[in-house]
Amino acid sequence: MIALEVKNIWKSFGSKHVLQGVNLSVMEGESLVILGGSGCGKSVLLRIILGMLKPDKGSIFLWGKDISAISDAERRALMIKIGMLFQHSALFDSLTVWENIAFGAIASKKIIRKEGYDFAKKFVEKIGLDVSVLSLFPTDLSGGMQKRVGLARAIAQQPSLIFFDEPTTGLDPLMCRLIDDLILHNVRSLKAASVTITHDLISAKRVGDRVAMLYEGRILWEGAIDHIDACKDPYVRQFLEARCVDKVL
Amino acid sequence: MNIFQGLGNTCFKASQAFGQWVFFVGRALFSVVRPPIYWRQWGKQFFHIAFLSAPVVGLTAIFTGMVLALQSYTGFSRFSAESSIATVVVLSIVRELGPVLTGLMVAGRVGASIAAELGSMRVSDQISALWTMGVSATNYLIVPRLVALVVGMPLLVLCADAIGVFGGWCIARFVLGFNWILYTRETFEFLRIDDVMSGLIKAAVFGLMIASISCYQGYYARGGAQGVGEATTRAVVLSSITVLLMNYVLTSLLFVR
Ligand SMILES: Nc1ncnc2c1ncn2[C@@H]1O[C@H](COP(=O)(O)OP(=O)(O)O)[C@@H](O)[C@H]1O
Ligand SMILES: [Mg+2]
Repeated sequence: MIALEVKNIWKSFGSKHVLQGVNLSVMEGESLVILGGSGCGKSVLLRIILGMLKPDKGSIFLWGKDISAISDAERRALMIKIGMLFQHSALFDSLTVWENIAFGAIASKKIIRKEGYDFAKKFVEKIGLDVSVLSLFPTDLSGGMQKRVGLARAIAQQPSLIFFDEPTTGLDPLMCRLIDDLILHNVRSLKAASVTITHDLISAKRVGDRVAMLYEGRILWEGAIDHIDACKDPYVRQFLEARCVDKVL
Repeated sequence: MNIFQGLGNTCFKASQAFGQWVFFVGRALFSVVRPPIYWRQWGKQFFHIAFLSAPVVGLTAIFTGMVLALQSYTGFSRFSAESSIATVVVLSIVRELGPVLTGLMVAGRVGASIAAELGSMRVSDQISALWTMGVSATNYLIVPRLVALVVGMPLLVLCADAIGVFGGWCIARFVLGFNWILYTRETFEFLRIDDVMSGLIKAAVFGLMIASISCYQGYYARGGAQGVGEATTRAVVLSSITVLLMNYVLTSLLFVR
């Protein structure tokens, strides 16, 4: 079954045409990587998929449901099946780490507040952190630790579809590797589908089954991750070889 | 761009924002009674917004009451009308100064903190994170602040009234050497329940205005730290002006009949 389907999405901000007809689909249990340069609209696409931004044209289907046509209650129910790790973690800085991790479960009344701490404890183990971080506040953690707590929060409700917005940007290579491994491990053990947005090719190869290259508002190339090295498209080649785009020079 | 284009643009943007604000308030008011209700947040916000504002409001009120007693003594003793001081103090405080000064202090203290907190939650994607967890930001963030202010403002004004009148009483008794039994009797002689009620109605309206304006500014903040700073300034300035404006409107509605 198709978990996510993006159909002909267009979005402009004023005269800036960010997305110009994006089409994508993600099967259940599949891991898709969206590759693209900075500022090409990756985060905008994610916001549209999650219903936070309205596209100018086109529609989004989550498990076959058109999200522009559902009620607030239905949408909230759908969101519980979705996890998201934000580019800058977006942890609630007025809440402790354990409250962050257990937030969704408490809000959707799966558990009561008293059980929150023990609930969160299971997840810090999954992300390889010590239980002592549980009662710290997010601002007391390093960037890499915040990402890991963000990951714990994203998987805490056992979602069937998880989004990662540039999970390794701004981290050192060892931490990148660790985050990739944690993502891979946790997504697999949940048997969830995932969409990872990145401009880091190494990371893409680690976590992805399939890759889609976003360029100038469209999907320029799409295929199995192993085939990208053989791709002949000049822009994809430039991206792979990390050469500057001709237009800029 | 010429000056008229600029003016036109500004007007257009302002009316667009006003429309958005009306929609925002409507949705928030509608959500007060619509579950889910986050009681913990309600309590937390009530504590931070209403309870912790009490000291600042109390200080404002006591000094205002004291000054009022001194000033009316200066004025009234010139034509031997000292016996009206108690009435002047209590009526000015209960009808005007209590609600307005409390409104302005709360607009500064609470309006700024609401706009800054929601604004930084917005620019750091915490509000988006709520959305992806299926939690309505209106129910979780806006409604608790709105309720805390609409309920808390009248309570704060009641305190301000009592403390302000007490400040005047202290000056009358200890500085001006009035007979305190007489002064106390004069204080309550011409005070009617309507006077107090009208002050409380004003307070609730001011609370609604401060909450909705500050939440709106924070919720729609954009552009990083600078944007949050601008939103905070706008929240304080707009809520203060709105308090003064609404005070005039309500006074003319409540008293001039
Ligand atoms: N709310 C907005 N208003 C105007 N422009 C926006 C808005 N959000 C994003 N953009 C623009 O859209 C483009 C894509 O942004 P984004 O999706 O964040 O890039 P990235 O691919 O690096 O995640 C950027 O050029 C940005 O300036
Ligand atoms: Mg981005």
